[in-house]
Amino acid sequence: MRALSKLGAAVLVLAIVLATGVRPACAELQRISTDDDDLITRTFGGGAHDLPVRPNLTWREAVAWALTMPAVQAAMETFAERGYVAIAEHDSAVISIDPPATLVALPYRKPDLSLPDYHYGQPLILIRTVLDHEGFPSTVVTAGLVVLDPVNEAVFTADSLSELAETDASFDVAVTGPGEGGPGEKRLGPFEAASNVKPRFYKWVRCFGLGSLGCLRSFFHVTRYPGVIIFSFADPEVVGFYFTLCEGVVSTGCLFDYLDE
Amino acid sequence: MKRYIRRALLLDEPERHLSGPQFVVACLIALQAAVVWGLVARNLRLGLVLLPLLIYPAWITPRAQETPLFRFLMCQAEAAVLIALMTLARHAAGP
Repeated sequence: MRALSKLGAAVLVLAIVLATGVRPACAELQRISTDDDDLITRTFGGGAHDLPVRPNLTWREAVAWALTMPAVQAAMETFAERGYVAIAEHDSAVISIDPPATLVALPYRKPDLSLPDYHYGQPLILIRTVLDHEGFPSTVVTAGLVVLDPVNEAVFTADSLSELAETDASFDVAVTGPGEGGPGEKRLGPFEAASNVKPRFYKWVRCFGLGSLGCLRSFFHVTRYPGVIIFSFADPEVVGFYFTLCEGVVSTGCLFDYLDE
Repeated sequence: MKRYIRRALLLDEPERHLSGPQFVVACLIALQAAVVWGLVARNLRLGLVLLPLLIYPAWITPRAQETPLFRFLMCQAEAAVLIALMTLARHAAGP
């Protein structure tokens, strides 16, 4: 057997080191994450303030439900005050599975509506309930006069027309209240959990925390001499009293806003 | 506690706090600053709540160093900073 040269030995050692020291890269299987919630058909049985959302809902049921909702009735009253006339036979609804939502449209007509040539206008109440990932319903009731301009291929509301902006303005109706549901509802939860409104205590703590920065002033004493102002550390008793007073004032100042709400 | 309050208010060291007339003038200046800066912040109540924080440092100023102009400038500066901080804090707390 032929003896290895120095170079050959070095190459052999290097090859062994590389072969044992460096692990081959493992081919990892990428897990494709799936949101199981997406596979669930979310449904909601409807409530006083929300439309039902379910695949087998008919448009007639959706329209009938919408007409019982207080927010919709408020919008209908406003339309009646404006002199709009309901076109009940054209009431309609769209039921969507993905995203889970129900949309109801209640068309009206305005008898004395005068618009520029080739413009068509129609008052409309739209009610939309959509479910989020947790199955919580979110409902919007909006109403206004929709104007169609086929010449310019534009659709806009009466807010854009100066002569109608005040009398026929669009508006939203606030939808409030807990989401009580009927049969088929996936989850019942407090309404507050779905909103972004922070508790008063949380807001007070944030206000108090930041406002307390002003109390750093209490650690210093301002002394005035002719021609110069000197900032020095205050006496301990003064710091204690002033700081306590300051914190009390700041906490009271932060409290005002939330007591008034 | 009573002794602590006396020491915090410097009641036993007359030269280190304002005289009566000086204090009255300082209070009026502090009230002016509180009202003006409260109106600037559109929250007069907040301005008035900050009033003690303007009066106390005025009280513990040595009477020999006190002048109305110095007090006026100090009150404006302190009230402006405090009002600004409180307004910022209230906004940071969110709706």
